[in-house]
Amino acid sequence: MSKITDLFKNTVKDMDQLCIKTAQPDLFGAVKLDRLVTRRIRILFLRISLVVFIFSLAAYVFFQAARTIPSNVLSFAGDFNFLLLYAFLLISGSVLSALLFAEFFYTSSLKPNIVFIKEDLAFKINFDVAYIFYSTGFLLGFSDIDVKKFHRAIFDGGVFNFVLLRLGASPDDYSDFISRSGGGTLGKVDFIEALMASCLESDKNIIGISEIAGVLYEKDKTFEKFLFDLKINKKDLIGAASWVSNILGTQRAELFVWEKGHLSRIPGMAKDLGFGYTFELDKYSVDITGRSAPAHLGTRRKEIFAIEDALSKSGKANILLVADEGSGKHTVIEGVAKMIREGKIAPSMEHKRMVLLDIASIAASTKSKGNFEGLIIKIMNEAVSAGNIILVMEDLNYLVKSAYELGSDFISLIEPYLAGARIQAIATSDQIGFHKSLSRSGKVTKLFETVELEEVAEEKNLLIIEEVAEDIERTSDKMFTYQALKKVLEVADRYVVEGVMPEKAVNLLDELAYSGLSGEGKMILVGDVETFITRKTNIPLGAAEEEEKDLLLNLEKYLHERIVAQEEAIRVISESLRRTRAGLRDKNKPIGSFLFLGPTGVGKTETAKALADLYFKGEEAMVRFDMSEFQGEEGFKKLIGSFETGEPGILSTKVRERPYGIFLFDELEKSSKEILNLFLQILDEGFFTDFSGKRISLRETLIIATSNAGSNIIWDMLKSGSDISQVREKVIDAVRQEGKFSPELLNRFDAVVIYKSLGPAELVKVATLMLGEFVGKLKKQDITLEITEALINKVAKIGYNPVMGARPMRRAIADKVEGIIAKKILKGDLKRGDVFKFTDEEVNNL
Amino acid sequence: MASLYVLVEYVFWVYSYGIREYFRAWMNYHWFLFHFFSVGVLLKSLFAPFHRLQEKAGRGLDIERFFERLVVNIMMRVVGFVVRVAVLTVALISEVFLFVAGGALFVLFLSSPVVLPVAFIAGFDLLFISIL
Repeated sequence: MSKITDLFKNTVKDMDQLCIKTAQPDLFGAVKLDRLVTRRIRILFLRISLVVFIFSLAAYVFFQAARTIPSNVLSFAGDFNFLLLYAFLLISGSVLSALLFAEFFYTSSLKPNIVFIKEDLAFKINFDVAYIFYSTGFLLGFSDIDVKKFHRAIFDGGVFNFVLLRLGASPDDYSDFISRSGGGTLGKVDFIEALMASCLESDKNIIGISEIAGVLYEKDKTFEKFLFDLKINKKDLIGAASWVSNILGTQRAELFVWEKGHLSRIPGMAKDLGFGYTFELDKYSVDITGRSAPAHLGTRRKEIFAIEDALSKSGKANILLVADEGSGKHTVIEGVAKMIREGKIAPSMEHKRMVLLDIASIAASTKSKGNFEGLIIKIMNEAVSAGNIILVMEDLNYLVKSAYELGSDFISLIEPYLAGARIQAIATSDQIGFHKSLSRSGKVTKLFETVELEEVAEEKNLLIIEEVAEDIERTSDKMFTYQALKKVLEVADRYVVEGVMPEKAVNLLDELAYSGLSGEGKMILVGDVETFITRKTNIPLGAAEEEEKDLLLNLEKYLHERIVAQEEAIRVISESLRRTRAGLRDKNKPIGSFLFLGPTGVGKTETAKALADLYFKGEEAMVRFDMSEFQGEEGFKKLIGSFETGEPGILSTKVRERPYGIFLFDELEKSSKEILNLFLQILDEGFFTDFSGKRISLRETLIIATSNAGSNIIWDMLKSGSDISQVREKVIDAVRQEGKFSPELLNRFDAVVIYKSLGPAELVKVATLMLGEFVGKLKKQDITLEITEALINKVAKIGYNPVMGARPMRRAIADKVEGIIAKKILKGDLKRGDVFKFTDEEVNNL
Repeated sequence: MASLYVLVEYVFWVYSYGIREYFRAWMNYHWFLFHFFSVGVLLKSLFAPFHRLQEKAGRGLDIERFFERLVVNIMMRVVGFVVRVAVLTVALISEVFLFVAGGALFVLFLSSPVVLPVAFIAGFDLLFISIL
């Protein structure tokens, strides 16, 4: 690039390496016409002149006919001034023709023109850029660009105003910016070079508004500052400009009414005359060759061409499309149908009819094996004799299974037909169905060529939902900003657990548009997307609200209201959550992952519960697994699902039900080795793959595993007065050596937290807390329990067990304290409004 | 005012790229009619039975059945032929119309830089004459 700059600067002769091919591209014709009379006004006059011309012509025919008919009623026709009619015919006819030819001229001039040539590369400009270049005399020489004039031309062109609207900004702000800006100049050669480089980067050769915007952002610092203040970055600016450019490009393509692409959309007639009737097949199928295709065919072009290629090469070829629901099987099938409809298909496939077999109605009308087989044979015979059928069978795996339940072998039934060249089929199956049944069948692999759909690349997902958003905007009164679309993609991928991308994002867009969320105007902004997701999943998105900020900043304090001691554990968890909400965490991992080590009854589970209650708004946000129930191979299958039985795993199901919350794995060391290995992946990548090959994400969960491993060491060391950090190292060492957890697993946890055993003073605190909870419960019945020190000490004493820690304390309160009060309530000794206090004797007898 | 120069550009365009574009559009409409009426398929299957309806031969030789089948199959071919020829005739008429109308429009297109302003002025002239 710099080489070219030098060439420009030094000599005129060497400029032949990079030149402006023409200062007057054809596009300028369209620009000038638009500047003379806008297209809207031209079309208005065209319609008026058409109406006047038709009326004049009709009047002419009428009066001429009336003159020839001898009748008193029509005698006025003889006096009619035909000169007036001729005048109208001539004026309206000439205006109509002129406007028609003008539109022809305009549309023909709209195609991008080559303007810049560099070595063997040619760069075109589109209409939007031509408008700016024409207004600023950009192509007339290499003098510097007057930045203010350039911005004004962009504003007047109007397209960039749409870009700003898509970015949630106002064109008025841009106008103000232009008025305020001091001006200045930019080197034209540098500017052109940057435009070319920008084109090459995105692998295209047409300079559009996105390239202009991107380069201006780079070169004009005041413009960058203006956009920065509006929270618009370069990537979003270019993305939104490309989106608007694509929308306008599609609209302009519609103007080329004489092009084959446009004409081929008009359905033809007599196509079926050369082929047979399909009465029975029509009853149980839908013709998809005739219906309109979804917008985003472009993303599946490769697969569509692969199918066309396979089907056209051999009449015996059949296709089995393997992909999960929502990943684009329909798009591919509709794409092939669209190619047939538009006549852009291999000659051997012209006039083919793609019919989608309606399995549900076949199943509904056949109750026995005989009925089913009879109907299928009839349909297949018809399809074969029609001679132009491509049979589309969705979910072949389910069809085969349903037929099997009736006692029929569907594949054997259709084999003789599909093996021949007179009918072709495209079947679909999901991954599980394919691997479970179809891939094992020799007949299926012989009859069908398998096409597996790859996941759509992430950047293509944005293109898809841009097109879908346009469709939705046409039927709803909402408009999406570009940032909102990006947010939809992000949150759909992260927080919608069911389904695959891009379907999840498409569904979310649809829900958003009709949710009535956007209270202010028609625009759906990033905030609206976040609010919607928060309402839907309870996941707090966006800037942390005041209440949440307070909770996060004081999480230790709030947790300590429920948990006695265990400062280290609480500190580690609190810090992790604060990191997450500030957006600093690794988004490809769970929110946090902790291994709590320590004796029973010291508050490990209670910490998880308190956290669920405080942060995730309720203890039901905690999903608890007793890992001693997941031992051996069976335990593994129980957790992630079984391929043989098709039963989904408990973990998969729970994550689907609650994608955001705490997952507590109690006594992790008791689970099988396979499960511990599974945790390596979960902790490292935030997801696991279930039995069917589906990814299940745990990236929005807080994972807490507990274990009693090393309890003895903790007990002994703390008793001998060791520091907690020394204890930690020693315990981890011991656990590793005992082989309870591998070093890899221990390293993958965000923190291994040691829970120390509770001393007498701490047990008293636990007793106070638990009794406090009980007092709260009684308060709901308007009974006041006064807690005395004697009662607390007694509960702390009877509720403690060296092996079980403070765990028996809750049981002790339930059995002893609650028991006595319950008896008193039943006997009527305690009534609403009473204040009760245990006597010393009662305390001693507890 | 610079934009008014577009009228001159239009005249240049008509006699250069305009002619090429016009013929391309015209040919595309011919292509469209050919496909709209499925001319290729109808010609290929001109003598085929109507919607492929035909009696199939049974087992053994039965003279009566043979002639019966022969008559039915010939009838089906005749019906198919008649229907296809009818559609092809409509297609041909449309083609002729497109050819003639397209030709007339082409003449108007070529002469538009002169004829349209003249017609427009003449129209106003007539309007004034008829009013006055």
